[in-house]
Amino acid sequence: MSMKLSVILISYDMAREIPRTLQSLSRGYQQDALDLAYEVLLVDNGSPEPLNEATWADVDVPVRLIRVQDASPSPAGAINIALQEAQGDVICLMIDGAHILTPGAFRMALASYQAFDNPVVAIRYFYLGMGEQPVSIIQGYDQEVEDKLLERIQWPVEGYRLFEIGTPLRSGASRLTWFNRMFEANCLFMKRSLFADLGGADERFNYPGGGFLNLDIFKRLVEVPEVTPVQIIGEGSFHQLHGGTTTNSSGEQRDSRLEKYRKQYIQIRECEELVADVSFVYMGHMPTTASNITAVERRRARQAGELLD
Amino acid sequence: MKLSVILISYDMAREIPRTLQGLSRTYQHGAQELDYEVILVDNGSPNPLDPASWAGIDVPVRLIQLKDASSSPARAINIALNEAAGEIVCLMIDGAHILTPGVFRMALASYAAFENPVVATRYFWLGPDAQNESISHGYDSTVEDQLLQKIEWPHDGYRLYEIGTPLRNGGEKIHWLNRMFESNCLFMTRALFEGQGGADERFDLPGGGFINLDIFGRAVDAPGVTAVQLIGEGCFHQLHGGTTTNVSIEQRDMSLDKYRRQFEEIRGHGDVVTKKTFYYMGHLPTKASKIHRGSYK
Repeated sequence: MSMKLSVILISYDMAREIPRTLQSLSRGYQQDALDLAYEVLLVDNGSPEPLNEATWADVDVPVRLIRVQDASPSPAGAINIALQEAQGDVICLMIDGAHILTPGAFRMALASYQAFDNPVVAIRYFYLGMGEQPVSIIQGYDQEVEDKLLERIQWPVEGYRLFEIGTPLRSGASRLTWFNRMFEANCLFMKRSLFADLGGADERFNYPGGGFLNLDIFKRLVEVPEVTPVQIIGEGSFHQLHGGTTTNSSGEQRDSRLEKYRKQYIQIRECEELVADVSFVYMGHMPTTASNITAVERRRARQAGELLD
Repeated sequence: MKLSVILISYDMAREIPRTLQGLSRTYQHGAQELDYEVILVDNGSPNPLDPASWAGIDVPVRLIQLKDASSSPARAINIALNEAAGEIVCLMIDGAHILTPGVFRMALASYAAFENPVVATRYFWLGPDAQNESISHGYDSTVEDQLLQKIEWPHDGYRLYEIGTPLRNGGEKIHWLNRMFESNCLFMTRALFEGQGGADERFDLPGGGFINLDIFGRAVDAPGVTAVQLIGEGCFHQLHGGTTTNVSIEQRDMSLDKYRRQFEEIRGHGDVVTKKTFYYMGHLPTKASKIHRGSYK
């Protein structure tokens, strides 16, 4: 059987998070994955404390660990190393390995490949916790709270309960719906041939964490003329708290970093526009009440006594 | 053959040519090469349909004139189903609906993506409001003609959203993700529909009563079926002398009560809305198609 899917999972200093990420990529968790021909290429991009395979020994996931010794602080090189090794027709790129998926991510993404020509499929980005992590960490959100939340929903028993303990990335939108245009994803599917033809990740994005590398990959992929960009409804990738370069740093520090990233992007692409002007196709479902993110947002705002437009 | 559209008409001489235009090879995306047929049943109209009125339209249509028609469309549906050659049937029980141009494409994509799908296209009224309301404020077929002219239909079919109103069914806020329980453009495999015996001819009230809800509910609740709602595609109801749609509110409520009673009698329960989880497939082709933002007004 030829390999259908290669997940490229980049890790740096994520000893706590990777076992859960792998759990969410496992045969028992992802729907229809029992017989799926897939592989997870987990690249440890030079973590000071290397990942320990024993921590996911009991997870049924076809994972291969690649340790990069002379790693650069950007994940670009790590992505390309994994791309080189990947066997799957389809690549799922998880540039920040600390993300937990809902259980239908594979199934919906692969259904898109049945329905459309050359799709690039984006799974919506959520933070774990009741607020966006750059804000919530100031208010006391930490890994201990996160562990308790996951315990409360008995994760991974019913993966869709993640929507009960997560918050969608807003990216400045005033009102959030599943239809809001995405311009980055931490779980992005594409044909391997498409990604390879684009030369994989552009290693000039050499900042720690990659700067706007993820946005660059997203934009270049969806802008390819014959591609059908797809956003999935009712599936998400949920960011676990870890020492990420922009997500889990606070206020001013974060703004100045983003400014630096923007400058580098403009320098490399000679273009200021980070968001592709393409139309998306939507595909998915609404597996639980909590997956209705617009209604949940309204309810939380009401509970917090905040008025929403 | 891939697709058979079953189109039921009664006294729709004005509306059918536009409906057929909405189903034509030049209008529906990807229909140039599609192997499909439209089975148009004239269910005993006093003034029979005249094929000359759609002579200029490139659509593979076959007209069946029913002489001894009953006032319910049930038997007309079954006659067409018997003639249908497509693997998939698209049922348009009220033939006065104009489609947006991506309905075929998105519905057929659902068949590629999902197991045994039943695909529902959302229902819209042409005009500024639900037609039961708007007709009492002067909406008529002349206004409708002018609206269609204004958007230069069929030049860019998605402009229908600029002149249409989604069916609310009492819902305060309408959203593409709202649960549907009827559709005037419903796709299912022919095998599924045949397996269920087609339309139930006991729904013998004029217009069929709740036959459309019955077909919808039974199809999506069938085991192994994936229920799918399209996003960004719609079917738009043209004003005509329909049995519930284009009468006053009081008249309509009386009819609905009768329909409900018949439904309960036949099915032994009053649940017209399925609890099935829907899947979604589609896009948002224009600003006006973002009905969740209220921009259709």
